[in-house]
Amino acid sequence: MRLPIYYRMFSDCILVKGAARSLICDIQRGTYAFIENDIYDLIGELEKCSIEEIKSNFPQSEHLIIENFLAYLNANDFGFYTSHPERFPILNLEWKSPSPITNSIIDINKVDRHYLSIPKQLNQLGCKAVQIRCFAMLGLHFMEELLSKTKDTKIESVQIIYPVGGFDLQQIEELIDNHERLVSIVLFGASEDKNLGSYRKCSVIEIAENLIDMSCCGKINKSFFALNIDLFTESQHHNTCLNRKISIDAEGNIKNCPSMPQSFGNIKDTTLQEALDHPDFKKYWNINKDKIHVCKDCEFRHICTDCRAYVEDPEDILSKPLKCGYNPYTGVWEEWSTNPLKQKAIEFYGMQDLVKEDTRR
Amino acid sequence: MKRNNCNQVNLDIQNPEGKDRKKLPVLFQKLTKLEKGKNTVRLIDCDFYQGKLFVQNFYKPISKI
Repeated sequence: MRLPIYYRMFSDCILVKGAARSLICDIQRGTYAFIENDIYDLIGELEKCSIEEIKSNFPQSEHLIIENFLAYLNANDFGFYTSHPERFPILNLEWKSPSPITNSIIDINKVDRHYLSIPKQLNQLGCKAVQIRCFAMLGLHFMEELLSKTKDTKIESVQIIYPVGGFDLQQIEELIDNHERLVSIVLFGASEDKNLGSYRKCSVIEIAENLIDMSCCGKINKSFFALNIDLFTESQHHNTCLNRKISIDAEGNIKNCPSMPQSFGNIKDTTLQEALDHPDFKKYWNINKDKIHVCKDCEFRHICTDCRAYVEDPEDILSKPLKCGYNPYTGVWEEWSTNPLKQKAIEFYGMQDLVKEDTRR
Repeated sequence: MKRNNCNQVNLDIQNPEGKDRKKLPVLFQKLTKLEKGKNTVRLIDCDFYQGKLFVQNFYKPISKI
């Protein structure tokens, strides 16, 4: 007896439905493809019915369209034919981490020796990734001393954001030679955007934007998309920016994110663990994209990292990120800073000058 | 990139001697308490970090600056 043929998507090719279109997220290859929402529905039917059953629900004239679409999926290696669909369960989308903290932002404006205790504290919390954002020149000696504190810790990667002209190329190479955890150095305030290449495993780039303070953060655009199983699964349950994050702002205040108003103590008199133990510290960690207005209808919602610090309506923590210019109902990207509906929030956060500079550039 | 097909892992485990046996992926994130038809094995993907500035050694942008 001939068994019915089914078409199955590979379990790491997962569909995300948006208001105007949908995505096939290939979480192994880190790529995505757009499909129409009708096709999304058709793939949903393919999960339940054999190809013959599906065809029987459509007039003969549309069979070729179905076959062409299956050929497209097959040609792009998104799925496969099988007579045993029961052997292919869907991927488990749970997200777990053994670390109370997975990532951290440290903002520094001036040399302050209290910062030197932070890497050790992050190590105790199991933190894997650290970004050090210096909005002023702190000198090579202090940076060397701070980075040396990451040695013999569980911290796997350190990124530095620093004003251009603070280090010459030889000093940068020495810094990278001495600190193997360095994976990225971004020098801001340059004359133009320029990729200086990679030295060892650390990328060094110059950017023209002048990063004056933390208010420059929170941008949502395609360059910040990341498609991988960790982010995709974390996004199903948690806030992709704030979950398991601890930060220190330029005044030494311990926060979930440096741009958020609530402080849980200062590094001068509070440990990171004490701040983390505060009942309010984790209150935004579980605001996933499915709870956020507009984002919940966006096809990019599980490959995008959120922002809760700057939102369209500052009185509604579930409103859309302020610095996102994407409209999932039309599928069009627009400049966020000139949107008339965002001007009130731009004023609320005092970003008028920042926006003017962005627009000028 | 050759697909390390999660489905192939399931197929392989459920049919260790079967004629549909295919090449197993190399790395597993989770490979415990497997039960026929109920488990899905997830893979650690070694390649997705490459070539992305903001996700080197970490799986998402730490900040968006």
